[in-house]
Order: sequence, then C-alpha cells, then structure tokens
Amino acid sequence: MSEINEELISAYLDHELSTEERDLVEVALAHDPKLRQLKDELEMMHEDFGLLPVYHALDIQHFVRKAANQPTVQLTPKISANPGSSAPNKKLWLSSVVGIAACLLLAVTLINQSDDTKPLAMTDSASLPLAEMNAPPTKPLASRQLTMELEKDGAMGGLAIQEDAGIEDAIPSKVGGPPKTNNGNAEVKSFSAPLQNKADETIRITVEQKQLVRLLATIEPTSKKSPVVNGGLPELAEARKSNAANEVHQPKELVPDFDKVSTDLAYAKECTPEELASLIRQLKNAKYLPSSENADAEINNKTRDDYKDQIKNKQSGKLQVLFLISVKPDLESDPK
Amino acid sequence: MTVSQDEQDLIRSILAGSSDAFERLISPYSDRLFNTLAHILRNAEAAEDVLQDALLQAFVKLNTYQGKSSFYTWLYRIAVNLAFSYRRRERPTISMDNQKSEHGEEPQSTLEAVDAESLRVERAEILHIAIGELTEEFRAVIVLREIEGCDYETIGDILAISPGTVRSRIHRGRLQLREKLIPLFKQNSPAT
Repeated sequence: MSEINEELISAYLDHELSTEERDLVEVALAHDPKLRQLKDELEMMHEDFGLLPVYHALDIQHFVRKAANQPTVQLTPKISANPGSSAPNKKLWLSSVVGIAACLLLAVTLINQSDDTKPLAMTDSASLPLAEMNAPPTKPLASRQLTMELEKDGAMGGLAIQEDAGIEDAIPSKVGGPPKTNNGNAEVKSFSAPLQNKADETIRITVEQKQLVRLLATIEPTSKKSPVVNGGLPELAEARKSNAANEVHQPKELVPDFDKVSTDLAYAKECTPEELASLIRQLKNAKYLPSSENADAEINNKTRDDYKDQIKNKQSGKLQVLFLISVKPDLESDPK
Repeated sequence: MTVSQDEQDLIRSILAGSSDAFERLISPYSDRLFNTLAHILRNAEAAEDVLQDALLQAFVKLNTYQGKSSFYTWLYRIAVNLAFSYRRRERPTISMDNQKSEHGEEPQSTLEAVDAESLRVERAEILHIAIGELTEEFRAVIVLREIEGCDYETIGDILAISPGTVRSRIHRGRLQLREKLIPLFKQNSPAT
C-alpha cells in the first residue's frame, strides 16, 4: 500500500478525485483488504467528527449589527461563547468591535488628509498632565493633523484620528484616505477645530493591537456614551468609497500586511477630576502608563491642585480629556 | 470562486455607508466561523478574541477586498491567520492541561466492553483531544475539511497552499488521528 494510494483514499472519501482516479481507487479497494480497512476507519472517523462539540457565540448577530451601527465605543460584554454555557461572557466581545471599527475606519479615511488642515499644537508643555509626562515615548505628534472637534457642551466620547506624514508614507498603498479636494479638507469639515487645544488633559498611550480592546474598556468601561461628533460611520462612507476607487490599482489584497501598520487614534471623553484620577490609577495599574512609588501621591496632588482649578469655570464640572493612542502592530506577525 | 452578486451589492452598500449591510454580509458566516476558530484554537474565549479581531479587520479592510476570492474565503483567511498568530502568542496558556480540565482526563485506550453508542461517544472525545495534539498545519486543514466542510480548493485559498498540499496534509493529519483511535476502532469492529 503506497503513500500515494493512501492519499487517494482520503481524496476519494472527500470526492476530490477525477473519474479516472475514482475508478482506480475502486479497483484497488476491491483487491486490497488493507486499503478497505483504511477507508472504513477514515469513514468512521469522519462520522465521529459529527459528534464533536459545536461552539456557538450567543447573540452573535446582535453584536455584528452593533459593530456595524455603533458610531462610538460601547464596551458591554454580552456574549457567551461556550457551548452549553449560559454564563455571560467575560470578554468585551463584539460590542467593542463597533467602537474600534469606527475609530480605525475614521483613522483610515483620514490618513491622506488634506495638506492645509491646520496642524495642532500639542498640549502646552507647561500644562502637560502627570500621566502625559510619565507616558512612554511615542512618535512625535506635533505634526499630526487632528481634525476632530469637541462639542462645546461636552458630550465627547469616542472618535479617533490620524495621522502624520510618517504613517501616511507608510500606508498609502495599503489604506487610502479620502480624496483630496481643492481646499484639502472638504471631506472633514466637521472636524476642523483643533482638538488638543480644547482638551484639558492629554494622555498618550502606546499599545499593541491586541491590547487595544482592553485599553478602551479601561478608558470607557460603561456603555453610557454620547454620539461621536463626526456623525459616525455614514459620513465616512463616501470618503471610504472614494478610497476604494483610488485603490483599484493595488496589486493584491492587503490582509497579510495589516498587522504591520501602526495606527494612531484619539479618544475623547469628559470626566470629573476624581474620575480622571481614578482612571489614571487604573491605567498605571494596568501598565498602560508607567508608574512609580509615589504615583498615587502625585495623582492626588494633581487632582487637588490642577484639575480642581481647571473645572472652576466649567458648568459641567468635568474635564475634557483626550487620549492619544498609538496602536502598534502586534509583536508577532501573522504566519505566512 | 468569486464573490456572489448579493455579496457584491452588500459590499457596495457598506462602502456607501449602510451599516445594516455589514451585518447581512457577515451573518451567514459568523457563527460557523466562530465554531471553526474554537476548534482550531481549542478555546472558546480565544475564539471570541480572534473572531472579534477578524470582524474588525474585515470591516476596516473591506475597501481592499477585490473580489478575487469569495468573501467567505477572504474572511476565513483573515480569521485563520489571526488564529495562528494568537496560538503562537498564547500557546503556553492553551495547553492540553486546560483541555483536560475542561473535558476531563484523557480517556484510556483500554476500555471495558461498552455498547456501540458510548464507544462512539468516547471515540469522539478522543478525537477531540487528538485534534488538539495535531500540529498547526494539520489541524487547520482537518478542521476546515471535517468541521467546516471546505473543499480542497477553498482550503488552499484560505491557507494559501496548493490543493495538492491540502490533500497531503489532510491525509497525514487523518493518519495521525487514526493512530489515536485505532484501539477503539478495533473494539468497534465486528470481530470483537
């Protein structure tokens, strides 16, 4: 019984042989009891596959729908994945896909953003928050063109932005931005104001892609969110459509390269000084931000001295906090 | 295999801003894909993570999909590649020890005489464990063929290997599984 004949038995059972090959196999089976035994055992094993557990992600349609509809980050874990298990899923699951998808989609569509969009100055160094000063070094953001604006009445929550020349150089053949127009920013007119200048606090974080969902869950643990200021996905769709049209010259699909691309996101939210202090502690505890022995005291001092001052003139009593998240490719890339 | 007209329409709708279309595009595959990932990863929580990433990538990268393969194949390629990456990152935490705690100790091959149905169930249990012991390259083709029901060409498209390689790997994978099941096959044979 040769190896090739054995392979033919497998392919025979899978209906992957030509007529001539099937005839050959059937003749061989008629004359070789060992081949017949192999065939019988493989058939039996095939039947046994039907007894294996079937895994279902409950409410998966609901979460896919949320992923497509949600313009903002909602991170409510709701799926149970174990077969036969009714316990709620502990993972953030697909609800977070929505927000991240929205963030990344916006980031993607803004990569080739206009040349004359005003670059934002970074947060004044004199007012750099504790967290930012302690944050790990990231790519310089001074040249980035942040094109999102904050609503005057607060209601931040969500949204992501791009991008700097470096990333633009790295990506254009992979992910396109909206088509450039004569004035360069027609596609993003609703994001025109400098975001960072309006933020009371800016926190920079660098994470790998695989950490992003958990980071966003830390930043925004509840689903109580306000609509994003850009109107969500629909406004991006036209630009994205144009991107696709601009990319027809690309030689191949780009899935294998996705993990090699860095992406920068911005996420804005409002919180009280106490909430911000608590959040910074969580980020430090989770190692998203560097910590030190006296970090707690520093946070308390910052809350007492700076944040409280900053909210004096705010009716809402809340600080506008901007998270600049640099998402790096995972350390291990996909296998070939 | 190319993208169907319905899927082309859905993709156009998504790119034009229809959020409903993404659900309709994904829905036929999401549950099956989850099951496939759970078997490849041997861990439902890991399958959740990977499916989440896969849907996200599919959504974000949809404008790069050119319809050269079916959307099903494209989606599965993303997901299986992510599953491989996940396994390489998380291998220490997805051990057979975990599986044993989840599914009980590995059944012994020296069985008492039992009826055919319970023997079959036991075979399936051993098969389940044996799949987990396959190497990545064999496990992927076996799961895609036996659980997902893909033909060789589709498996080749998903894994970026030739149909001949698919055939070879499937057979060798099956032989490895068969080795684990041989004692039970013998018990189930008419001679015993």
